[in-house]
Amino acid sequence: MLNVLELQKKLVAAALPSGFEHKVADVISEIVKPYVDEVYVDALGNVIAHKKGPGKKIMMPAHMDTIGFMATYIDDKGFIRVTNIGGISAVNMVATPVRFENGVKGIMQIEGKADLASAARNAVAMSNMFIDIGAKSKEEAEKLVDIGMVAVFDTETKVIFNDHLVSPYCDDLICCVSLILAMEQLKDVEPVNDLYYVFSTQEEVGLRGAITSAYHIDPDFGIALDVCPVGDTPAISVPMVVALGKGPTVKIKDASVICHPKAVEFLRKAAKANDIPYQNELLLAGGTDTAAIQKTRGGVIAGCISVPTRYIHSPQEMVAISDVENAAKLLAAAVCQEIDF
Amino acid sequence: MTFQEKLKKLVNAYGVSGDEFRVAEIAAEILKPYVDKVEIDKLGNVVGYKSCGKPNAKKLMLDAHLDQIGFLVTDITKEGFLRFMAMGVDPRMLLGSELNVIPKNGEPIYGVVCSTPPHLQKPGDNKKSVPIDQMLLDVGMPYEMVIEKIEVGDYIAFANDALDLLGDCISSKSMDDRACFMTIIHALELLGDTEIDCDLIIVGSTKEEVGGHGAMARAYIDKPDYAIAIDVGHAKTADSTPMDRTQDFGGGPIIGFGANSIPKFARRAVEVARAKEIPYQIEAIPAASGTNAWAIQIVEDGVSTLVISLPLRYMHSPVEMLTLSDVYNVGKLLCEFIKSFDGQL
Repeated sequence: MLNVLELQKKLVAAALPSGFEHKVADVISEIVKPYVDEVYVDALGNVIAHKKGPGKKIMMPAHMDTIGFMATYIDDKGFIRVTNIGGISAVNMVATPVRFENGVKGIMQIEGKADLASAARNAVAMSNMFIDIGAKSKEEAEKLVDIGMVAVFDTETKVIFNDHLVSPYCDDLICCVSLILAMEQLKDVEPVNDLYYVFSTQEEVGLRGAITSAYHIDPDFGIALDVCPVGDTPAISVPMVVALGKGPTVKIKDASVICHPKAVEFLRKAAKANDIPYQNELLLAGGTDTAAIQKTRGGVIAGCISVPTRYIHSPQEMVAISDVENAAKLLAAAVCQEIDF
Repeated sequence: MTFQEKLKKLVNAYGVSGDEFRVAEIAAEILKPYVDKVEIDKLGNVVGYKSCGKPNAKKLMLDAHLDQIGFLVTDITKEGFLRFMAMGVDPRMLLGSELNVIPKNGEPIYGVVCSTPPHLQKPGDNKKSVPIDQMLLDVGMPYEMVIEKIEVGDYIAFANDALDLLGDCISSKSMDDRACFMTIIHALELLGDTEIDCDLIIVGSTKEEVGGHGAMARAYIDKPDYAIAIDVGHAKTADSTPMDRTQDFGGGPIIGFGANSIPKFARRAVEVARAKEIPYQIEAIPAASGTNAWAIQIVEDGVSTLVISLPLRYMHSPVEMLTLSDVYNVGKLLCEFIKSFDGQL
């Protein structure tokens, strides 16, 4: 069986922010080729892996773009200013190791004048931050980094106590891992349905890859895979029942979508029939590719399986490996059911 | 007409978002000599086709929008003054402005935005900006005459015509984005009868300032494989600081990099600019580009898009300023890109 840690490391090494998914797309295409009949990349860079089957067309996206940074300006001393790609809370970025798309490494820091102790959390802005790559001058920095070049978190991917995995970009690479695990499980299974596994692009800037791939596939049903926050860490502002290690969630709603009750029931049925633990998810903020599928063409019934994740959009997100594996099991079990809607 | 005369005729026309039919006629006339056929569709989009005559050629769309920022009449007071709302305009700049009301029938009606003379102001008034809902447009007519000629819902636009400045600078109320339509015309001029390997779709689109609806509709109809949105970008002004992400005025076309301007496409544009020694600049556009490329990119199963910008000072004001050298260089880059493009990136 494929190994969660190894897969996540492979994907993290290749992934870049929204719009720059070509490297990780190549890596994923190579990995998933043995599990499907065809793999192709479309105009927006989505990897579409198709396992032909007789039943309904099911689209299963997990997005392979990440949040990150783009260089906007290099000052006279060689410090690089950046803008964010996707939702980034600047205060989480202080002292974060980062890596540009060409491998150049640096750390993100904050201007000395910014007083972190007294400033309100939302007063810390990306415009106060810069990346130090160790350059001594603008000329030196410009040899390594161009304006428009993108950067990602350069934090480590590792397993800690209780088989918890800590990594940048669990959102949503760990769900790409789940999707690949499900593909592996279904490799030699005679398909009940016509399966489209999609590694989608530009989710973090508006679900844009899923919008076009959903139009292209024209599915009968959609099951997205994404992360969802949890309520099991100290003093959280919004109470939430979801906890790490208690199974993947079946989404009921998030800020972008209310899942069709038939989709929710369909996923719960698969979990119960196969003794896979699951949790109910009501997510107040954040959207997912589920919404893009739901609104394509004349409308499509869509649901979502989430991997409970701590510290989402920070450089060190945390998941339980058992949840990642159970998300894959749940997806694989679900798509082997007949669809009567 | 010379190139500059065409540019001025186009920017002097009126066509606020949703009411582009007059400017569309002018744009279609200008485009006609360079393409196989021109149409104006029901949204008011101008579209021209230039085929390369080769089987299975890929389709490249070049888009610049024809609509301009402006206003709508919201109310007519008993004294015959007009109240209005703005679309894309910072109202702080409006006191004393010259505006034209564009009635559904008939000629534009000139008016000025009322302002209070300094002598009649209260202490401190000159430190405050006036909210738009307290502004009135004076068209110099009594109520009875106004309601004969003007209705609530009529469009209003900045009244001033294009102005030649020193050097090769020109200012106008609607350089955004008609000057970019003229960059495409320049590209077609330069291209002449040169053999090319892709079919061109030239779009003068509508409603960009309210969400890109015109270009979105054209992308559905024409189904391009690739699309370049040409729009204006912020050029440096006297008060610019190094970090505010503005580009050099006169520095040549701005090639966008980001999710809306796909890396292969943008890199190809840079390669062409370098090879042909056309000055260029790079802009980091992390996500939404604020151009028609954002709408076009996700039409149907997706379009490969690129954003190219023309440096412009004082965007969304009545005196948007450009330098002709930038217009020509954007046109040159588009022309050279087309010549080198065989449908593959």
